[in-house]
Amino acid sequence: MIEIKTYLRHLLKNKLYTVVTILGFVISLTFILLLSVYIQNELKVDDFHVNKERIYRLENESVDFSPPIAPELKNSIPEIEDFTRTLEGDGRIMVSGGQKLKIDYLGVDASFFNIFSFPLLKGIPEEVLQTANSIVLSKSMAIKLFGSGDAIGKTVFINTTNKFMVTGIMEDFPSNTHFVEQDALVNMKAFKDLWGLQKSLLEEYGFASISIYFLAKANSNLPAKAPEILSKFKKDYWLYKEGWASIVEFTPLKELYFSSKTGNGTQSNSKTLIVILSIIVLLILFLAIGNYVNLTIAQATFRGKEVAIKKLVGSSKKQLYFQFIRESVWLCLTAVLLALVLSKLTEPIFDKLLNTQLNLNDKISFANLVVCIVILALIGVLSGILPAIKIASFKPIEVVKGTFRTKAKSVYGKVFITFQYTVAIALLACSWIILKQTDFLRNKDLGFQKNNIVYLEYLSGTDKKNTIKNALLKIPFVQDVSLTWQSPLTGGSNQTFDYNGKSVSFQEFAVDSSFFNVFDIKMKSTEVAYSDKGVYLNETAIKELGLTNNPVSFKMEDEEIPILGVVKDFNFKELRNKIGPLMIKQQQANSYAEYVFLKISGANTLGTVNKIKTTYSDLVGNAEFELRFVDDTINQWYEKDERTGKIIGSFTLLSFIISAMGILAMSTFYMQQRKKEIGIRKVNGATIGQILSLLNKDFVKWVGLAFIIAIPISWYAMDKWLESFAYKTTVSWWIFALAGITALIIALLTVSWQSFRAAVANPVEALKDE
Amino acid sequence: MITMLLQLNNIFKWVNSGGQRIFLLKDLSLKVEEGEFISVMGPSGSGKSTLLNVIGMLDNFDEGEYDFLHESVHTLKEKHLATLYKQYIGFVFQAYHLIDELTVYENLEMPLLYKKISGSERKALVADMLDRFNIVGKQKLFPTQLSGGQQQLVGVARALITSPKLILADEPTGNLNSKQGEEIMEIFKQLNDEGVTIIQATHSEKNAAYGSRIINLLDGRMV
Repeated sequence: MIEIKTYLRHLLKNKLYTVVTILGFVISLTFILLLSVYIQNELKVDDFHVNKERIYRLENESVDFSPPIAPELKNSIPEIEDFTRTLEGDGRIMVSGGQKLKIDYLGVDASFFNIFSFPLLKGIPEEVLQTANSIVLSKSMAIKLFGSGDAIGKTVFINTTNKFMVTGIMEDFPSNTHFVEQDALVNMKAFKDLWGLQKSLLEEYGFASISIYFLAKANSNLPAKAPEILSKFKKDYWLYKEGWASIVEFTPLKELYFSSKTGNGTQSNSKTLIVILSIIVLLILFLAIGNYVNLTIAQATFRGKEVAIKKLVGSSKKQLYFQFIRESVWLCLTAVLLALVLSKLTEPIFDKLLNTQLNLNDKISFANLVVCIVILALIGVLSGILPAIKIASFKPIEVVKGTFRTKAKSVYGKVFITFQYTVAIALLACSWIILKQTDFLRNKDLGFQKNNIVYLEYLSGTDKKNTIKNALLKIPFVQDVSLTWQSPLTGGSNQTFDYNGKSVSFQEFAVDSSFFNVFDIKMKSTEVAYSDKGVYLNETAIKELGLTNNPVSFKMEDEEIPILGVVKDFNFKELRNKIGPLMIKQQQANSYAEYVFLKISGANTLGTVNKIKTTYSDLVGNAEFELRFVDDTINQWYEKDERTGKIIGSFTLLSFIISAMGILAMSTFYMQQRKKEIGIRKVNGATIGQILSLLNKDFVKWVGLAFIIAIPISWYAMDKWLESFAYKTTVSWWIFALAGITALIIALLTVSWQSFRAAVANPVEALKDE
Repeated sequence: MITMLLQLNNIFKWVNSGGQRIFLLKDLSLKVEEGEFISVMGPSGSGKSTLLNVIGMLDNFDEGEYDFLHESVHTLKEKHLATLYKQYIGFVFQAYHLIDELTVYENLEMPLLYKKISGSERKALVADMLDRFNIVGKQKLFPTQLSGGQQQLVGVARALITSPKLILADEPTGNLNSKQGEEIMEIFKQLNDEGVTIIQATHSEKNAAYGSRIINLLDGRMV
């Protein structure tokens, strides 16, 4: 009890030390806690499937295969127990006479609910998706359509005309699966009607866009069959014969979430991000413990008397060790409790930052409590042991006689400060470069106008195209309207064809005549006579085809295509990619339109937008739709990068807080040691300025060293990161300089707080003989 | 002609403790002429050190007047004070107060660094001092490698190197054995003969006898 009392009094007496140590620990532990939960969540994705060890996805360079491949393989490979194909679709769903709601659905095989363990609220897994017109709704979609009433057996329509019967209700997909949340599941067979195909999609070898999941038989080795399948594919599957694919892999379910290959209706996370975050967790932990050690040793000088007297009255070294370790465990406990509270409070911010849902409340369990306590004890002991050894080794006689001095020989303290500042400077430089790059991308001239253009999904039949366009054109402040299939926002559809014996890959749009005006894209007409078949090519495409300045036509497969105009290059994809060859076709009366782009004047934007919404709503009937701005959409392309920047930014802030505390501790320690020296120097005529520069010089040296180490590290990291962009900002020297100067200023301010106190102190105090 | 070096008139210095005013110096007046060698005596806590600190301008006082070379210290700004004592006063301490991390040479050089004296001149001055105190051979050593007497020798040399008019010595022999103490006192005597004014605080009658005048203090008062 006396021990705790002494410690508490010590803490109360040294408020700065107490606040700084506890706060440092609390902030760091909060980050560590939240990040650990996040990492744990991410590593546990798809862990809930009963068959998780037996599920594989078939993959080539991508994950796209033709539908008949699945039953074919099942019949020929005995290791396969079952399969389900997946194909994503979207559209509008409604109950008879109700509102048309936006819907994302997944076409699957009837076996889906047997292979994966998504819980059904109503319906039997084996039965719900047996027929082409059965549909399983998610719980929230069912509520949207039917309210609280029973949905089973009811009829719904997709895209107005396709009739489905609700056979089951499933729990909404949780966030911890590699599948994106879906509003409904339908049988794969339904695509024949949904897409208005002549024959079932399931027989279509030419359609290679579905994902296939296999359930392997227990105790079998399905992946080992890959080479056999590959040689078979190379013999008789066109995708391989024609060289579109060359590998076959069975990727286990637990790796899918971290796969860079996008399948139908899947989401992923980068494994690198998880690894980086894990490293950061360890780094913060290390920094936090190091800080505590530094601060405590710094403070220990003031406890010399306590230790000395204890020793004089007979305490053993061992007893003192344990005292200090116990103290740090207590402090850790306080910090952990506060960190738990802080984690809960900052959870929403963190969720937003990492675009995730931590659900901290779900983590409260006995097992986690035990883990927490073990880690707590470990941190407590780890951080207590060094100060304990250091403090307990004070020689009592020296302390009592007044000749006691701690030596300024703690090299590890200096190494540690350098390390902290290396981390801080490197992170600061990185986050600034990321910021500069996102800013550069957002503001780069894309070659087309992005301001004052809004767009809508086209939600009507091809026969209504002109009616809708004319009605929208009548709205005041709407200057022009263009109907398109694909757009500068979507990147176009890939079209690969044979051109004079070599295979060329173009992106393709189909637009009406207003397109160039709406986007303000420069187009130079050729003298070629107009033809429905005629296309516009961008400059890159002309180059790719090896045409001259005045092209007239080119040969696509066996057909001669007239070139109506040459379009000045513009970016039609995220700026990670360079501008590729682009072919812009014309919208014909019967061609499918995807989007409506409206050029507005910019005056009275809100009124215009509202008018467009009401007009369009009347035109397409009672359907749910979204009106978006082109520039908003473009800004969102870089959201992920901006988020990475923000994450690193938060860590930068954290590392600066920690390093500021570290250097504060070191300077306190240092000033304490040099009190006498400062006194002597002052008595001998040193001015405050001279003392300050003397004291600060050393810290500047360490920060300088940190700067030198940090530059190549952050430069290398950023160079690697920028490699993924076709358009890069310059990595300017001044960013590093600025990062270094910022760190230096922060360090100097912190140190000066202590050194100024030491420098202005009356030397008489320091030189008084104890 | 005899010139006045410093003059204290009715100096009071006190601290407030528990609602009570405790006097460290009480109505103290003192005139010191150039070339004097004054020994301040008195029991522990009588105010010897405080008096020396006040004279050395390291510590302030609460009431009274203090003139140093016709400048009134009590009205001067801190910065001006610093230049004043930097130029005219050298200190010698009981515990030597050398900087352990610097060599003998560097310890001697230090005050010169704060006076903006050129490198070559510093070298010459330090060499002079080393020579004068016979410690040339020890210039590369650190204080901890010296005996107490040798350390105090360096302490005196450091106080002298800026050629002060006044040397304030607070128990300069307190940590030394009698033989070492005698050596230091001899040096003080010699310095005094060369014209340096010296004020020393001491417990020892024998050391006090080196002085030309003895002041006795008791509870902050001259008796």
